Amino acid sequence: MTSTWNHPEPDPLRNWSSEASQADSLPELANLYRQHQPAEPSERAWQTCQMGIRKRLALTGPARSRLSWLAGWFLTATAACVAAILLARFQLFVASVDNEQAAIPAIVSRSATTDEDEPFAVAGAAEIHIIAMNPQDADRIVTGLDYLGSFELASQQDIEVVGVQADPTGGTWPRLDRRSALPLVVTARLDEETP
Amino acid sequence: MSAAVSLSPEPSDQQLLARFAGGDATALDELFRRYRSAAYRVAHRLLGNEADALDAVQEGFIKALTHLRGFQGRSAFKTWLLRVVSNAALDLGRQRGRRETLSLDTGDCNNVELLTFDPSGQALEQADLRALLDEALQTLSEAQRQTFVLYADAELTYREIADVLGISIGTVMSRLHYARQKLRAYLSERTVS
Repeated sequence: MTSTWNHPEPDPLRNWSSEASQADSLPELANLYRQHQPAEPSERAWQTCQMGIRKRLALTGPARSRLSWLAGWFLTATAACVAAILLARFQLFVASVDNEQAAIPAIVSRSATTDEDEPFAVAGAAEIHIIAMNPQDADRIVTGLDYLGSFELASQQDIEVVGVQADPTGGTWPRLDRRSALPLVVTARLDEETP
Repeated sequence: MSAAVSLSPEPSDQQLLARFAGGDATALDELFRRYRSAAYRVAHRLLGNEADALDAVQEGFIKALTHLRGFQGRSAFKTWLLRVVSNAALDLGRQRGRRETLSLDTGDCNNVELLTFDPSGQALEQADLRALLDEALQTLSEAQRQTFVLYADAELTYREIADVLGISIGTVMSRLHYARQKLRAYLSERTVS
């Protein structure tokens, strides 16, 4: 039997548009990654790894002798003393430099934290009681943790604001026409996705 | 007369940890069997090759089991282990240079599939797609990558990720949000419709 080895040119622009489109949703994107996980190592590789763990734990495991604990405490105490001495000397040095340079304005450096690490504001369901809402803000409702499981999102096209009525206790209520039985969880428009 | 068969339930992680602390080596074997795959998936995604991933798994198990006092039982052992493994993987990646290990030109174990005879070419496509997904991960910051891998590969919840990384749920959400944006942009650029 003659066969040829399949060795096509690697093409970074292969037609994976359907896979790429899964990145529109975080759960689908995560699922895409789960479906393309690396092959498991061989059993022999696992055994080698396990033996390595056993060997090293035999040396540093939890059943260490009392003597080694005492040695550890002694080393820690010694290191702490050395660190305290060095810190004291450093602070004396800094104080003397500060006195000399008191007239020089300080340079304030910004934190290294990037804007991308800014946490989203999150409140629990018990902390929120919506008493009124501007219909214009209907597309800005964001779900809380309780809804992070499997749920469907309604888009703006699924909901029509048919009117706004006054609430006897104050404020107004939007009257919404949900064109299907979708839950009232509204996703932001794509062009407004960045908070 | 039928013989009664007693099916003893699998020991819990807590029971295994207690047995391990008492010097029972078989408890370690059982813990390793339970969580080696999850730990490996996380490590491999962060490091990109089998050898380094196995090193990180080994390092993670050792650190997790020798620092059990830091665990304190507040979360599941799996969560604690994956935290340690992912940190070990990031440390190892910094030491060895992640980009080198990801290069398709190297003798990466994953690319063995490229030499597999496959008339349909499906295995090749799967390997290429996985390489593309790994490349996309490299566009993320280290914090975003770790958060995304814990979400996608370790399948931890937002709350578990927050506990694992010592950050708020809001920060988990924000990291995942920006991670998805970057991954989507990268994947969209490199695919054709």
